Parts: sequence; structure tokens; C-alpha cells
Amino acid sequence: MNKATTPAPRLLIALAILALTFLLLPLIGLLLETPWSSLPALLTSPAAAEALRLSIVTSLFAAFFATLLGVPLAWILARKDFPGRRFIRGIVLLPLVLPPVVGGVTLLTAFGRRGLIGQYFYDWFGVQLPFSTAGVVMAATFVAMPFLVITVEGALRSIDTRYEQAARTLGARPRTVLFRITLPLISASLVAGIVLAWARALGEFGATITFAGNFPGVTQTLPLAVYSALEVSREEAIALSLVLLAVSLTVLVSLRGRFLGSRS
Amino acid sequence: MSVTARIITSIGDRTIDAQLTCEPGETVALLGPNGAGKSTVLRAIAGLQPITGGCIRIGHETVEEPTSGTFIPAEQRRVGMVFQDYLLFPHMTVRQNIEFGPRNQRKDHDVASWIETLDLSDLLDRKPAQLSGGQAQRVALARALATNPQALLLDEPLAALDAATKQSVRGELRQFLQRYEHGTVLVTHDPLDALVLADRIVVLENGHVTQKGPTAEVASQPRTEYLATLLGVTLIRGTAREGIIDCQGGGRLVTSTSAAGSVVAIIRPQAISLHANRPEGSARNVWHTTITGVDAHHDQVRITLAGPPQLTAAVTPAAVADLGIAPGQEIWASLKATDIAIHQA
Repeated sequence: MNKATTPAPRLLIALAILALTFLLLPLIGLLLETPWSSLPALLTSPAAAEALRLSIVTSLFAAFFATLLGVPLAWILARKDFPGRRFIRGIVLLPLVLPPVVGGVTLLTAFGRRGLIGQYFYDWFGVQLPFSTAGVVMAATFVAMPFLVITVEGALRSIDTRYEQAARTLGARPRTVLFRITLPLISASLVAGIVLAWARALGEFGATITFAGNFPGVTQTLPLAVYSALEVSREEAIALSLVLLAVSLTVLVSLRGRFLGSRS
Repeated sequence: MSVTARIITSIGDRTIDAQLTCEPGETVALLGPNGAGKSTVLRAIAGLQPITGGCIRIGHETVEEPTSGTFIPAEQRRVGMVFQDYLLFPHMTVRQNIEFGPRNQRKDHDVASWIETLDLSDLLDRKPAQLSGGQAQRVALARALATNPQALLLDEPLAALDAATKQSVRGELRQFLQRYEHGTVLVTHDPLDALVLADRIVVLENGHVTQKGPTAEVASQPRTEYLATLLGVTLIRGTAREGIIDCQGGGRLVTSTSAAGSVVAIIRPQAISLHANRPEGSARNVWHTTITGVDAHHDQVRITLAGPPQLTAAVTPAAVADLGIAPGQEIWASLKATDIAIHQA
């Protein structure tokens, strides 16, 4: 304890304890009510296994697309000065604050069967994006990408760009500079951004149910399965929730240096 | 190869207009105060800072000339650059750093010979974070040279080193530059770097060249206020042995150094005393010589002495009157051995 810090007012301590209790009680509730003995059976039931599989596949795809598209976007935002950059940055960050349900509605207006682009997909290629597994990936990518973009953009801004200049004087073309200097230099942040985006995609609910619907085996991911199960079997909902909780904790621990300030 | 450049550019609200030439095998120091635009000039030669006017030629190739629209990007210019804090890629080993350039050129230059020349064989598997300042400097030099550049650009190559390391690394660098076949442009704010390392000095102040010439000449005859406070010294190259320096232009100096071999002696003109008769005192260096020049310089008078070695003394106007100093007159000069600064070169 640093004696130089101002003593905490009692009221502040009390409220802080209250806050912690508020965050902790639901977790304790979940753990107490978990049907530990029937847990293996609940998690391996065909419906649960299907939802788990679907969640893992779609969230990994979403993380992949968020990275593939998000890194270039982050690079442009970090390195290029162009008119309207602040506006574009706002657009990129919008899904962070937008209610996911609204995100789902906007996706429908763009990619739905009568949507801006979606109608051509349907008319020309017979492809229907909403209410398909691809739709789940799209919804998850939409909400997850901003996490990747802000993490990577921040990292790109904080590295010393003179390393890239040094590489150029050593004959490296722009693509070589990107892959051999820039990306390795931000690798820790890049990994953090991918993990964050993946975790966000895994937990995605609102945009998914709006844009992709809730069809078991096709679009019913774990969070949707939890929601559906709650109406039939509380035990099953709790078991599935436990899986998501475990994943979240794992992510938090793997990124602890970033968020828990473990170094100090 | 040579470097010939007239660089016109602006950075922030400062304009830079500087002309610079560097012949093959020659080391030219770009000396000036911080913020004079030295690094910008170097970055322009390397292609990292576009110029708005002038022309940059490396060897026979024009690499940038706004009037003709010529612009060869940095990665295609045949220059090797050593940056101020070396900028070794932290995620690569020493070997990977050195091989980075040749790999980009898809050529297998003689990396091994530079590794040997710069004594890096034992460091190849280390990461830059595990190197001392002097080692990092050698790796940066090897990395720049491994691309087989046609000119070498050094941006404050010693500034990142502590004082003790600086002295020895400066000597090593001098030895290397003397043998290096291409032109080297060295940016520094430390006059000692310029005096020891450079064949010629170009002084840059406020984005403009204020003086240029052979190192000894610029050192002894500074023409600007900035330079006069920094320099105004006599620079004598020679060979040291048991405290005695045999000067290149003739004459000897008695010093307190234990250095041996090739050295640079730097003598402040204030350290030289003039006498009408043979002085009897502690000074180990006494000459009977001829005054070749008298030059009023701010509040001091600079007296050039024929030597050998040639020396410059600074005395007060009153002393000039007392001693009746005039060109052509014979006079006694003395200098304490401890007033001679010696740098291994």
C-alpha cells in the first residue's frame, strides 16, 4: 500500500463492495444452480453439441473475416490522412455502440432478400444470405470487427514508424515492410484483437437472431440455444451458459497482461 | 560512389536549402546544431523525405529531381543508412537483421565478410535487446553495408552511446571509414565526431550551409558564431608513441597520453602562450616560430604560427600590444602537455 495515496472515504468503499457483489452474485448463482451430475449428458445432447459446433465454426470464420478485412482498414485509418477520416472512423466504431438488434435490422436492409445488395445476390446467384449459416458469420463479423480495428489501429499508431523506414532503405517493398516489419511489431496487439473479436463473435446474439434467425443446426448458436432452452429446460440453459462463461474466463486470462494489469 | 545533392525542402515551417558533395572514399560530416535540418538532408538523400527542388545524384544516377519528375523510391536507392538509435528490428536476431537487405534484393551479397570485418560472429543469434550500444552500432553498420550500397549515410552514429563507449567506437568507425571505398555522409551535432571522422565538414545552420571545407581548415577557422564557440581549435593528425606525437605536417608534440598509433590532437588556441623571450616553466612544448597571421576575432586576437606544427594561438588585444605582435615577427610559443586532447583515430 502506498501511504501517499489519499485515504478512501467510507462511502466509496461501501459502494465499491456493493458493485463487486452485484457483479459476483450472478456468477455464484449460476455455479450453485449448475446441475453438475447431469452436466456431461446435457452438454453432449445432440442439440447442445450442434449449437456448440455451430458457434465455434461461425465465430472462427467471423474472427477470420474480421482480421482479413479489419487489419487493412486499421492500417488505412492509422497511416493515411484523408478527408472524412474521422467520419469513417465513426462508422467503423458504430457497431460497438449500436444495439445488436439494430445491427441485425441494418444487415437485413442491405443483404436481405429485398435488401440493397441482397436482392441481386438472390436474383443473380440464387444466394440467400439471411437465415443461413453464412448470415450468422456476417452478423458476427459485423459486431466483432470494430474490436479488431481499434486494437490494431492503436498498435499501429504506437509503434515507431522509423523501423519501417529503415526497412525501406534496406530495399524492402511496401508489401515486405507490412509482412516482415509492421505486422510482427504489432503481433501481440494483433493476437489480442483477434481474440477479442472472436470472443465477441462467440457471444453474439441480437444481430444474429434478427438477421439469421434461430434455426437449430443452421443458425442456432450457443447464445441462441441458451435463450431457447430457457423456455423449456432451465438446467440446459444453465449448462450452456457455463460453457460460454468458461470461454469468457479463458479469454480474460489469456489477455490478462492487457486488461488485468498483471505486470504491476 | 559519390553523392552530389542540392536539397530544397521544407519541414514544418522551416525551409532547407543545402548543397553537398561527397567523393568516393571520402567522409563528409554534416555538422550543425539540433534542429538545423541535418537529418532531413540525410533522409532526403535516402528517399525518406521528398524534396521540392534541387537534385540528388548517387554515383552517376539521378535519383530525385523534381523539375524532371525523377523520383526513385527509397527501397530502390543504393544507399545504406545507419539511424540514430540504430533501429535494429527487435523481433529478428542479429543475423536476420543483417540478412534482411540481401533477401529483399534476392541477392546473396557477401554477408559473411561484413560479419567478420565488424566482428559480429559471436552475436549472430542474439536479439537486439541483448546487445550493448557499441555492438548494436556495429550490427546497424553491417546491416546497412550488406545491401552493397553505393554510399553510406550515418545519422548521429555515436549519439546513442555512453561517453566511455563513444571514444572507442569512434576510433573503430574512423578506421573503418578510412578503408571504405564509397562516399560517406555523416550527420552529427558533436564537433568531435566531425573532427575525428570526417575528411571534410559542411556546416548546416538553420537549413543553410554556412561554411564548408577540409576538416582542419573548418576547425581552425570557424566563420560563424555557432562554430566559433564549438571549434576554433587546431587539429593535428599524427602518430603517437610513448607520449610523443610525430605530426603529419612535420614537428612533434609532447603530450600526456598513453595512446599509441594514429591519433588526432586537438589544441584550444587559448592554451597556447606567447612570449618575447624563451620561456622557462612547466610547459613541455616550446617553439621559436614565425607569426604568419593576425586576425581579430570577437574579443580575442587569433595568431597563426608557422610551426611546425602549424598552430593557432588566441590572446587578448592587450597582449598583442605588449608583445608588439605582427606578421613575419619571430616569437616564442609554449603549450602544456596536459592541454592537448588526444583522440585515437
